[in-house]
Amino acid sequence: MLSSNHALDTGRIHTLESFSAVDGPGIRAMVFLQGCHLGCPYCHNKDTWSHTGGTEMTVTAVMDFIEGYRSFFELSGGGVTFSGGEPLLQGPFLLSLLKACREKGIHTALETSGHGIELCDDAKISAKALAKEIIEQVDLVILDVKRPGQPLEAAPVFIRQLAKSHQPVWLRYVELPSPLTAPERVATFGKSFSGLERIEPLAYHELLGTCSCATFIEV
Amino acid sequence: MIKSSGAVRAFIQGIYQPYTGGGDFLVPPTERTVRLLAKVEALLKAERQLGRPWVDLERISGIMSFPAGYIDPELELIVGLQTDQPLKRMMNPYGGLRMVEDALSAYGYEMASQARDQMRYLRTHNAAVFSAYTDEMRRARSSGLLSGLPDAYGRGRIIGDYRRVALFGVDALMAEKAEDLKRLAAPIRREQVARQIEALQQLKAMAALYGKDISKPATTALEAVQSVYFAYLAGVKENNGAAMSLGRVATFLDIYIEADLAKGTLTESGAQELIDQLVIKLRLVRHLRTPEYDALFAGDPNWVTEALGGMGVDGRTLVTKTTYRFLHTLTTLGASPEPNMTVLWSKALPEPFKHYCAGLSITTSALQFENDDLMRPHYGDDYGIACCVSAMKLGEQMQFFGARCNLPKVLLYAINGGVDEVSGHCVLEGVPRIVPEDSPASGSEVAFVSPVALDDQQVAAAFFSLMERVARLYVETMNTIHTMHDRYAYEASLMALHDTQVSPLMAFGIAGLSIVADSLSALRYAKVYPVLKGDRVVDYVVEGEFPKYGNDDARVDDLAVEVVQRFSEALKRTPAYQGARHTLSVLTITSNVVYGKKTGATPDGRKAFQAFAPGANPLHGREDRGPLASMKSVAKIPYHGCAEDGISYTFSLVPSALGKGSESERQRLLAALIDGYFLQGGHHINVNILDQGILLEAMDNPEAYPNLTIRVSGYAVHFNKLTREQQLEVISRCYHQTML
Repeated sequence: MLSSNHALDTGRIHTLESFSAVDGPGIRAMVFLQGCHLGCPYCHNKDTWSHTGGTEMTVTAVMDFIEGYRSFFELSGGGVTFSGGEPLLQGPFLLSLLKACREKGIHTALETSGHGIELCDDAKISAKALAKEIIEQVDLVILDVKRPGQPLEAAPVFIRQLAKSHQPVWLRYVELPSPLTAPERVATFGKSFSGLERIEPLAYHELLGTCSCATFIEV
Repeated sequence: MIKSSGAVRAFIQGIYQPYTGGGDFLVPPTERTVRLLAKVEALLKAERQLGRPWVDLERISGIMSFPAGYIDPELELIVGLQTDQPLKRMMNPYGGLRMVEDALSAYGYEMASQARDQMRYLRTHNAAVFSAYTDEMRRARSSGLLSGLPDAYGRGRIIGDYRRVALFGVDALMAEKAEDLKRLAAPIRREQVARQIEALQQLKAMAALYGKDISKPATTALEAVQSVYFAYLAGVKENNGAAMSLGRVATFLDIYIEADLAKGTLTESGAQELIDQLVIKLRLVRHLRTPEYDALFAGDPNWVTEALGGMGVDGRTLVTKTTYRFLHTLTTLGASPEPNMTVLWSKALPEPFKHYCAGLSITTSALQFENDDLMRPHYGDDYGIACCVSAMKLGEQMQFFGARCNLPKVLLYAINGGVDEVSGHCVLEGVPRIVPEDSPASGSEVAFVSPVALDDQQVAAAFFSLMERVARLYVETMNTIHTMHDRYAYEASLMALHDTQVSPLMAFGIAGLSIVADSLSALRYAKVYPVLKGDRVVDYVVEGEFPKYGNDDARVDDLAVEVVQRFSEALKRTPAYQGARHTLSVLTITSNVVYGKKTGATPDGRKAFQAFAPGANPLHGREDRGPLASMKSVAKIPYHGCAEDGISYTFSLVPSALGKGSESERQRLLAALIDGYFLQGGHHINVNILDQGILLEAMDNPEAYPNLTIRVSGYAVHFNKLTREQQLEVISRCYHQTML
């Protein structure tokens, strides 16, 4: 089992990318966090899964990177997007980064599956509280919905908290060949989020060899 | 008596009408233009099918060497061809006779005997330069240490202020030159101005061959466009410089067009037609070149560069409706690399214009952008761009073009004691070797990896020291070239359209900057083991990580800056011909592949003969942080007082990388990218937006499409590290996503 990351000041980073226009509004810098526990068969970032890969970096170092692109953000209504891997696995570290960006007036977006914050649960702060704080500090959540058919009560704590907030939300889902990802199902799921701004389907692709999506879909 | 110096600018500033709106006033081409274009397209197709250039084998180049030529007099509003037939090229021996002979024999031609007789006794620039070259200059040239030198072809990089002919008429310009001549004492100067006057007479006579009288100022838009074109045409009949740029004519011509529109003697359709017809002519310019020249300057380029837009020093924009009309030719006539449309970009440009340009960039990739805010304090608001990135005040400054120095070779020579790593010949004598002579590999043909890593301080010191010496050699070589060019291939028709007291710039260049920076970084931060074969280092084994240029990392970016600054300073220590001001560019145009082919392996791990990155780009595959990080690295290279001849950066991306928003949102995003880059201090950016077909080619030739940016949402892509199959797969997503 993975060990949860309680550190506030350091975390593991897979990639720092200076430019994206497809991960949120405007020109965005990307911070891809290391580590993911989901193992989606169609994943195109398999080298982000390992929890020991990537590079350890401090909040300061990551902020130094982000702030260098400030003028691009200002010119385009952009900001920084935290992605991965699953950023929620490093919840406390992510929260520090979000707070630092908020302080500096930099718009933030979070690309997440909504899963994984439970693994950060510890005595200092509950998963629920952590989720709530993250949602409060981030400007936009881009939720990559893995199980749109799942009722809200059964969804992970982050998704349940998100449904209670009014934060702007974009939903993304991979168009698996399954009734579970039928657009109507996703649209229904989307109604749970008062801040929903858009829904984006992503075409299903197999990148690194063959896979069977049947191994992933649970009825 | 007129005073032409500064007069065109004053004329423009006094009358022109800035335009801050969008492109909705633009109209489609006239029927006449469409028919003319169809004829031209048929001719271009025939040219391609011929498989070799069409050459006039009877006559020699010159302003009056050919009778009038037409495509179709019924359809041509703006007349004038270089020879008597469209696309037919002339023999210009003044740059070099051997170039002409080599070109003809490469294409299976033989010149007519009368032409041969005329050329037999001609002393050419090429012959003169080579007779004056020192042995060291010859060796530097043939090894590729100094490359692309204009010693066998016209130097170009001189822009006549063609607008003066429209504004004043040829007679007034001749009278002014005659007055100037009276005040000159130095014989060489007197002869030059006398030749300029002769050229102006020939310009007038050339126009008369076409039934046009350009002795007086233009009074209509048609006359103004025709005069400007005739002036340019005389330049390309007389000279075959690599870059024969147009200047900054759009805003000037707009004044005449607006006057006719106001009088009711011209409609918008007619205005567009004038510009369309001018551009059709500019796209037909051709010069006879050898295959070697074509390898170095691929694609038959002429760099008919038109500088568009920009801001006046008084804060008004210099964008006019004719600025739009010029850009609109990419739509009316289809996209083309010529004329080389160069947008002088300022933060303060009208937003609709920025978005219009961004939109054209996205659909045609035919625009380049340069930082007017950076250049204006230095060059004012009436400068043109010669070739790709080289600014100068029109009519007041001229450039002595110097192509480029292969800086990675300087580093390799510093290691190998002046011996060329590829040929084994000694190019620079008396240079101490870094690697000891008596290594176990001496005399052996087996490659031997030295167990001793190169000492970073020792190599750096040797490099900078040798760079001083090469800088001096470079200036002396250029002085030789330009002395002879002035004597044997003087551009009288171009210089006639400059102030008599003209201020020269000597334009040096650097190729391979990113490789030198990365090599110095590898030496300092990693361990670099030289691989010896016989008595020279032919390869390097790099152990460990080192920061690479293009990732906004000060540790290596500072090295790049230091190299450029020190090279610039070194060049300035040797006086330039005519007291020219030394300028420097970081630019390779399309020659980056050729430079790579002549250069062995370098200490950064680059393999022998691998292509250089173009201009100031990081080497492909070394950008780990994406294009904005690369932009930040490139923007650190100092322009003022240093690389004032230009710093070239190329940015390639797939359309979907600009996001899934509306066309207007994507234009805004590209405009923001350009604004952001220039805010950082960037000088030039060439934007290539690649359709799927070109993208596949880009994968095979990454050196031609540097900083290729493929963005798939949520994807932490290191495109270069994927297998070919995976890359194809990602690409299919990019285009799939665009269609969503």
